[in-house]
Amino acid sequence: MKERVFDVIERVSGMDDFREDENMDLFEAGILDSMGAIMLIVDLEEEFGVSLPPSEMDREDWNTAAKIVDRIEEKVNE
Amino acid sequence: MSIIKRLEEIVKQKGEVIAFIDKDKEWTFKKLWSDSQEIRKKISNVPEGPILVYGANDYRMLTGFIGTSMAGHPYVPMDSHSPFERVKMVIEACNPSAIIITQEEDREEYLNLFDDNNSFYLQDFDFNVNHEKANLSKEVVGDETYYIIYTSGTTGVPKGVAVSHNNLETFSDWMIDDFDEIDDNKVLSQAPYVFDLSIFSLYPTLLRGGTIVSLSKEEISNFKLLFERLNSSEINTWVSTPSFVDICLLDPSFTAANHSGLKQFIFCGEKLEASTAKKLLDKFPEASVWNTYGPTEATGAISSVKITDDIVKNYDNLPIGKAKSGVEIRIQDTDTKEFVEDGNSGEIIIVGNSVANGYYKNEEKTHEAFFTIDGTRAYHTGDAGFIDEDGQLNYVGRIDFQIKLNGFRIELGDIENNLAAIDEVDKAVVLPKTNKGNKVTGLVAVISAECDEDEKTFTKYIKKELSKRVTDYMIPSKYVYMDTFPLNQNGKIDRKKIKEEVLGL
Repeated sequence: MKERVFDVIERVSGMDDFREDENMDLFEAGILDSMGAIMLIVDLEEEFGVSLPPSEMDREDWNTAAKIVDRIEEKVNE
Repeated sequence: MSIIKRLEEIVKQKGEVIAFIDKDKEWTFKKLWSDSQEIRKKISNVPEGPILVYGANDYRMLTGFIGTSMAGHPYVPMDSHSPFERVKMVIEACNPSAIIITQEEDREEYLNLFDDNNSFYLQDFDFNVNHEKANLSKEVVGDETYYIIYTSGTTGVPKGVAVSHNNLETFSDWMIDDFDEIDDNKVLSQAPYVFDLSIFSLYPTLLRGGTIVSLSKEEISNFKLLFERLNSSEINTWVSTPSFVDICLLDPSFTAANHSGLKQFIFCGEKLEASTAKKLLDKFPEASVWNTYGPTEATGAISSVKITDDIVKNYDNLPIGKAKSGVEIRIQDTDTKEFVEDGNSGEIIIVGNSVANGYYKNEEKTHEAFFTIDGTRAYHTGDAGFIDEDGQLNYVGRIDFQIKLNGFRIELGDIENNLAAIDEVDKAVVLPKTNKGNKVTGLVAVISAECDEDEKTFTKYIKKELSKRVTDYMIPSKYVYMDTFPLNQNGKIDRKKIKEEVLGL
């Protein structure tokens, strides 16, 4: 699961620094911006067959690779 | 009548109407007028010349603009999120007579830029004084410059587009007259004030006594906050880039049922994809969807078209409309420089009363892009297009290295020169990544550099250095390193070949 999420983040952002520090703030590090986050949502929805409405995405809960993995796990297990 | 005098009339008629609303607060026309007057009074002794208004896209910044116009100065909007070097470059380029800081500034380094006798801090002003009586005599009128918006320049130094009072007035009247007429119009304001899409939301709304519904940067960058705000606000006219509405369309809450007041959508700033328009027409069958076109140099926009189901059906790439009154669109062959007949492609030339005064204090650049045709002002857009059999202007692409990313206008040369200015970087080429519809979705930097570190560490360093010099949306997301760049027959860097190698095109 974790690897698949990381692969999606890397594909969308073109960066992989977050692999070394899963708790790095992806927005502050310039790995994601609003449009990147949208592409990430679309790709994650496709990869995991889950629904991720943007209105449920508080940036505080989605700003690190580790948190994104947690959110996707929650969604898959819903 | 001047824009300020027209605003005064609106204040007399609609003083108690809400002029501006943000997440926490609302301000009436009367308050907006009074606060702007307070600023006018405080800056009344500033010598002639532009005034830089520095702030966070909010009510205070707007009062800074209006107060500056009342006092007879052009204003230069400056976003407080801009990197230090960018702010410094703009200050050097426009040499402002004064700077108005409209938000509490907590960054020491920025304060150094303002540290002189001509800085005004709104936090020190007393806005409890009520200025009902207008005291106007010096406000900006006629062909005088109303604002100067700095855009990306090819050499890495920004260019200031000087838009006149008359330019702005003809734009505002066009918006009021040619789009859907909505009483007590509540208009979304999402674009940064440094980006001229913002004038769509500001002046036409104020001059008709409507309400500006302003989103903060924080709301725009946090989806949860964004939708909380959108779902609790009444909006009648939506103004944004297509990219921004694409975000909203992904959420199930973005429907006509939840937004029953939403009557029209107006887009500008980048290509509107047919797929986006179709989704909107499906979700909001009662609303109109307008596509518009125009560079900052021609004041907001100069052409418009209401996108219907038929247009979506008949066009793979949506048209960008017909010219507003007072403007003529001509197509010039890029080789022969002859004007061509409808149906033929060439550079889009804008002629008429929307064409700006030129680039502020930059004769050379002004001369390259601005000219006159039979005494009427004209501008070389650098955009390629053609006029089809229905008289609709169609956009084809750029004839140079300027691109639009999420609505932001970027000269690739601007990023390249700022990359090359980093000590370790030898040469840099920046390539746009595009999707199938030829819309730019990202930037890739190709760099030749002296570096002993591993690429990852070096990329981090490059991004950090670049972020001190250019605005965040200009920082490429991907970095590729090459020892040497391939050259073409003329001995110039072969961009095409690099593109093939890096993007595999």
